Amino acid sequence: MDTEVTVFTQPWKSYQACKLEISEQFDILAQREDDWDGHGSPKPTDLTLAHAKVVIGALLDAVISSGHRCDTPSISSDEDGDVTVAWYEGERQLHLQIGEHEAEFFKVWGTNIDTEMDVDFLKPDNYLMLWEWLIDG
Amino acid sequence: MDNSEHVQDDEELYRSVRGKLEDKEYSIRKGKLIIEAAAFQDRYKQPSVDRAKLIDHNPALSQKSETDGIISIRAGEVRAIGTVKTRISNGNVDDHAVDVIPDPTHENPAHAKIIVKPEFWGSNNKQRNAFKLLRIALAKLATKNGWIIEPTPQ
Repeated sequence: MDTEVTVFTQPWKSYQACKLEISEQFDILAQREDDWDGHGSPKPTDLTLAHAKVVIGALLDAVISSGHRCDTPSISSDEDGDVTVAWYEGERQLHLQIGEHEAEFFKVWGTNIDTEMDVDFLKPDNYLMLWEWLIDG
Repeated sequence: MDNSEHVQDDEELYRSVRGKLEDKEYSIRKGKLIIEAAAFQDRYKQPSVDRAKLIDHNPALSQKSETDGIISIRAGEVRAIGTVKTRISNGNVDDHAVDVIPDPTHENPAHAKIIVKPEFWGSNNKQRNAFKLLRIALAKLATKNGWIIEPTPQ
């Protein structure tokens, strides 16, 4: 007689690890000074950092509550002081660019800007759709 | 050799990538190298590269610091990225072709710049998004090609 084995996952556990890794990346960002990269890039403002934490937290909450696993993104800041977030899954990439008051997403599935990338404003209604697009790659 | 001559499609271009992992210009995810879009950040939205043939194909000469890595992309790959689009106020779309042009300086005769033609204009937000797409595309090309010189993070 076959024995059915049920594997219970503990998404909350990996989510805790994910949150810790994200928090560590924000700690590094918070220590950046103006011209941190030697190219004149400003440091991200406290308001930008706070907004980015809220957006990433809300997106990952939506992902986890839908039964998906957390994947720690790569988090940095750019030449405008915006926070940048990136997840990589095979050929597909999901990037977020988060400023003090607004956020955009970039879907990437190749190197051709005309036909293999998409950009739009990020809204909470998009979170799950974007994640499922990413992991379906 | 004339360092202001047209950059040919088959020319190799070097870019220095900061070696410190916390600078997030590259990362290792699931055992694979990812060159991040941050590796092509530039305040003027014109990332600098060095033309390999003008420095005897010696990538070490492009290192900004001895801990930095060097990636290589071909000019033809950069031009094949396509057109960067920005939407203008009347609903039309402006196309910006990607190009590599010589920009020799006294300190660096091999210097070249990755540009878009015509230049980005309009709101800062539009310019930023358009340049972000360009950086993502460049990073994806660099990831595919891998290191010419590996960084030595401290």
